[in-house]
Amino acid sequence: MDFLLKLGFDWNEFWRPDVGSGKTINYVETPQVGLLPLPVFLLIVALISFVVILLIKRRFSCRALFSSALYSFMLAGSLLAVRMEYNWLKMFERDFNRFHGTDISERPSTVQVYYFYRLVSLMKTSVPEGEGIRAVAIEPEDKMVFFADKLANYFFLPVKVSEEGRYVWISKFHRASYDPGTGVLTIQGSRFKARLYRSFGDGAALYEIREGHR
Amino acid sequence: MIWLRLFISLALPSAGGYLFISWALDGKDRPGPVERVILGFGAGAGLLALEIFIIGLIGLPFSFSLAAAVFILLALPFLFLRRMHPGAGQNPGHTAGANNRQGAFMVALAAALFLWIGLKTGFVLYEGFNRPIVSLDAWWNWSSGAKFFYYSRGLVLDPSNEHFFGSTYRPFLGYPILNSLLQVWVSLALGTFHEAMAKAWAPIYFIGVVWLVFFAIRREAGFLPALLTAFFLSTAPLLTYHAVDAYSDLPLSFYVLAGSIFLWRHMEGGGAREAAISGLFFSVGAFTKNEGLVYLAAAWLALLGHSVFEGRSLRPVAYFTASALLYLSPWLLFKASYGLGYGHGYGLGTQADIAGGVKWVSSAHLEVIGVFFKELFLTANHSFVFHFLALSTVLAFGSIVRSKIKYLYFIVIFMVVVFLLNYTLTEDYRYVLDRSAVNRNALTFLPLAFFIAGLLSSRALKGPGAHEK
Repeated sequence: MDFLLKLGFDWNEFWRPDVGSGKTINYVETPQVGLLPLPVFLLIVALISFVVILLIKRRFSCRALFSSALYSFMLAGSLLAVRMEYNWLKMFERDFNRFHGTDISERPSTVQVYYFYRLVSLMKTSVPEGEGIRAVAIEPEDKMVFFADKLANYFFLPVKVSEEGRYVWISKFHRASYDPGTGVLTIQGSRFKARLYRSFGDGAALYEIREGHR
Repeated sequence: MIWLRLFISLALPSAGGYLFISWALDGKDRPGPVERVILGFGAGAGLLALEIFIIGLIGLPFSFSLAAAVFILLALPFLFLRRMHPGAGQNPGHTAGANNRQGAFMVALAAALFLWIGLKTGFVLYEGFNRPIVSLDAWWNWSSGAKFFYYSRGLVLDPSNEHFFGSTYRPFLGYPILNSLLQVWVSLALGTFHEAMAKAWAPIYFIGVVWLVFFAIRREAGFLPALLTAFFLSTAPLLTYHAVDAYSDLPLSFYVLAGSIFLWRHMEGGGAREAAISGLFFSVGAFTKNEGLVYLAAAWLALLGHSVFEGRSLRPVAYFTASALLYLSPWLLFKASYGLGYGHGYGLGTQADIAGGVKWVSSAHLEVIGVFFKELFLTANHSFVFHFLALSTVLAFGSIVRSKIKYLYFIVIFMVVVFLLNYTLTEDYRYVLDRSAVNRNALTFLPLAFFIAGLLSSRALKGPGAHEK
């Protein structure tokens, strides 16, 4: 019974689709067959097929070995294709439902940065026309903030970030603090005399710089 | 209306490139019209990106009408030159005819493969045109700069400007900019920076590599082996993912493949113009990603080796060099004059590291070699082409060494060695350990690997002598 349960679990895991998110542009997730990665399992299948083809041919010349290897890899490649194309089928199914009749501005809802995108969009519309966003230097070692900042710069456009921008934004990722008594905002080691311009909840806010603004 | 604008943004470079390719390859060995459209798209996109770059260098504001008018003016002469060419109009079939068994099973198999590739093409087109740009690398390396250039209507080349050449938006100023400028071009045509359509060229490059491999193998081995090779390439998982996002590895793989196919055509009896077109495609690759320069060097060495060892003239090498330099010189001179580097510029702040130099490590990181090959052979990213190439190298080593396929092998092996040297000796080793680079690197030579596998199979299966041409 346990064996059947495990088999069912493994079967479901095997077909769990990896539908492509921002983090996986560098590689696709490799499905497992039990404890084996799928390509390893298929290499075993290819090896068995290679031997079977050779036995059927009963020839062991270089050419026979080559053609047997070719057909075996074609078999393995076809089986891999069936499983991996399933990912794209599921991705299409998901995306078609979400994109159909949806404005482009809503489509980032299919990816993991949806809330961040919405946050930046809200901030962008909150900044008075003609004003800019302050670029605050962030070390790349502070990865979460560094990436969030880069992403925000992209989403803020056509509003440009600048060393002279009057508004500075913070999110829950930033190392930032604000003292309402003194009106000092400390962010990533930089200090500004500022006032809270608008709060967006969850640690996100837009501040207007009052001193130090060039 | 937006779909019409999108169509124009893709059709214009294809048409211009088609005229150029048709002119350059006029004669009895001219590829068929579909292959010329695919090659034309690649060449046209490369020429258009260079043209927009030069418009930016001059300081003229980016606009669709200016970019389109200059491109049409550049492409139009090829229409008249082609008509004046004595070989115009010839279009022989290029099917090798070998192994073209027309049994019912073969017809059914071919129909199934066509259907599969067709559905896959539909998928990448749908996702490529509708899915917003999602990957972090695409955003910050290519799209952020593209969006900034688009809204700035130029390259912002005043060094005193805090946004010089996209600073703050482009972390590595030395990175080539074909990708970003193609996004700018589509945006100019659409009249807005569309989060999904800006990268509409990505699925076209996917279609390009699949069918370029098909046509190249069909010339060698016939219809069905070509279709099988194209099918397996189209199912390579990581290739599919890149076909729907805005990264540069897929375009680079297209230019490496196209350049290699023309290198092969030259070695198989073509003339200096095939070598020149090969040089052009490899140089567009160098305008796409920095490693494209290494591919260019590898291809140049392969061509030189072919000329020397096969007792051929060095004139094709000169043509290859001249066409590559002609295309790349604006970019290389620009980089030299502004002191832009070729490395990643590791350790960046929000301001870009203009020099972007290579950061060496004190002791070699040999552990990356195991990770590198594990990713290539034990993950589901690339189908089984590398396994097949490794095994067939052992089984057909003598044949490979005696044939001209070794020059194509050389390009792949050269690149693997350079990638490994880079990862063992520089700070980039971390990009292997975190799995962020290896599979994308392999993607750049994946279509070429399929091309080699198809060539090798067709020749090995034809029997003794066939593979030693």
